[in-house]
Amino acid sequence: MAKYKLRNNITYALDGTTVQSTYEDILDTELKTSIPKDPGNTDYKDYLEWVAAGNTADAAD
Amino acid sequence: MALTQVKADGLTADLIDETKLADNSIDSEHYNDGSIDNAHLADDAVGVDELSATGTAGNTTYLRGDNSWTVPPDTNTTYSVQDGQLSENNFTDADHTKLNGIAASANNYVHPNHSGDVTSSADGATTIADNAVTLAHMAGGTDGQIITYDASGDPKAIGPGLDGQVLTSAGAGAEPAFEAIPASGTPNNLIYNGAMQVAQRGTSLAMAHDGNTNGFVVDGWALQMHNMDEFDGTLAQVTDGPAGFTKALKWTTGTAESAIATDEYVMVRHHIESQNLQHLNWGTSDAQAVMLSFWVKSSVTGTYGCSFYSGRSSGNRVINTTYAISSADTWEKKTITIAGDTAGSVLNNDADAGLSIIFPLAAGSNYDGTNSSSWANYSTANYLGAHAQDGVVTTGSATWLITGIQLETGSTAGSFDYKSYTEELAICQRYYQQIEGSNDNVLIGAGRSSGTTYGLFSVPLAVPLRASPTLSSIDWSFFTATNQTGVTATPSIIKWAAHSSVLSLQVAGLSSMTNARCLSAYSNNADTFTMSSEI
Repeated sequence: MAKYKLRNNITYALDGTTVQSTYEDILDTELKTSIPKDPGNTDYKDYLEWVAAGNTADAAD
Repeated sequence: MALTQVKADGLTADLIDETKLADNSIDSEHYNDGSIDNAHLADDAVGVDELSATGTAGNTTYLRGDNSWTVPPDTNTTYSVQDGQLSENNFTDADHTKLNGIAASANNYVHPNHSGDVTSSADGATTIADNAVTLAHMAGGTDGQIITYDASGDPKAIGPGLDGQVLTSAGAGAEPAFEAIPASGTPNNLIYNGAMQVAQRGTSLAMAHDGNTNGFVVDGWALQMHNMDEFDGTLAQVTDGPAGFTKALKWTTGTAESAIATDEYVMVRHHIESQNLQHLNWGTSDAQAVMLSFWVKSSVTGTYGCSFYSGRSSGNRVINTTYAISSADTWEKKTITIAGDTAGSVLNNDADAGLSIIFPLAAGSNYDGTNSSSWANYSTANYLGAHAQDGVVTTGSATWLITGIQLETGSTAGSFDYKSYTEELAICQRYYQQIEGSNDNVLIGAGRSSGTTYGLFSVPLAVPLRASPTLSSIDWSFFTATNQTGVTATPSIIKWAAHSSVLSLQVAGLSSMTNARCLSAYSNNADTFTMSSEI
């Protein structure tokens, strides 16, 4: 298991079945946190540096 | 006929006088022996050569009575008179001793008593009476100076200050100083939580090379260790500090690092948002200086580094400074002035870090190989440049404490910008907030169920968060009018806004929910839900 794992998230419309939007965030599998893909988030910056160093996050389920 | 012969008896006695004798016509045989008496010698007529004395006449001989030229037998005889040999008023050793004890120009003076403002008895100590020294009797100083006392208790003049400055006390053990203050009357500390008051996460954190390598205890002040092999210790908020401060950040080394390798460092750092630094005009010709002041205490004396790392719109900048800890385990105040950076690109105007203040505790040569004593482009080698003392990290049980940190515009340190705990907490919560659970009784937020497995809810924030936050995983309990379920999950963020005090989240993995019901999200098992927008 890599330090990071991608996660796909879905929001539904009020009917509870119609997909309204999808978005991705990142799970830190060691610290058990979720990291938004916000350029201002320092954990996301750390993730990008981790990727730039040649690492690959686990794919989303 | 000419007279050719005259017989002696033909001449009358005494007939021939000197006029009848030719010059030089009488030689010595014509004098009777012993006939020339003193009257027939002219004054000064007899010279040395006419004397018959033996020896040689000269400037070192004299004519002795035995008609000889002789050198005097002695020209420098010292004559001594023995004690008591003078017949009258004898000069004794006792007299000499007495006279020898009298100073030059001594007189027979009797010291009088003094009365009045300055009193004395005979030649005893003089005493200045209470309230006797008026201003007129004090030594002159410079206009505008005041008198204080130094560490030895001696009076000392300080000042004069500059126009508009105020006199500020630095507490016991430090002399007051004239300092500038802004027009508002109080300095503007660009640093938050510099007095180490707020510690939302707790008051102690165990850190280790193979565990927590980057963490907070006191809000805003993180300790980071990099590539350490053996090092561990405890970061804590402690009740300690110099006068005026009750809390401090403290690092205590547990297992020491045996040696600092080239790629290792340990540091404490604080970030300041770029948008809060715009008035400094860094990267322009109007760049403003800043002054950092802080109190520090350590069991290890020596020269420590302090780096200023500035994130810019293009190319980051660094300046390295140092401070010295002179006395072990003693609070010392330090001030560091940083010139405004007129070079480099301008500061971004956003919520990212525009300036990091870094206190290295150890630095390998990869990070302190270059000392940039003036602003320079960032490189790995000048990141922690000028740091020297690694002893806190390489010594078991070593300690390093800091508090009272202030960064202000200008080159003169003002008094500390004390904020109330409420004010300081609110600033800290821009970067980190948490909701502490208690069993399953603490509401995190309210919302609605979405489908059968999702819960959507909004979390009220104490203040808007700086950035979309990193969220922790906790045990959740969800309640609707018809359902109750729990799950351990890490929420995702539906909506964050820079100016909003509401954070909208979604948790997946719920079970058997009914769509579109009002929902309450609780922390279960007393878990603490954290939202981190640390810079």
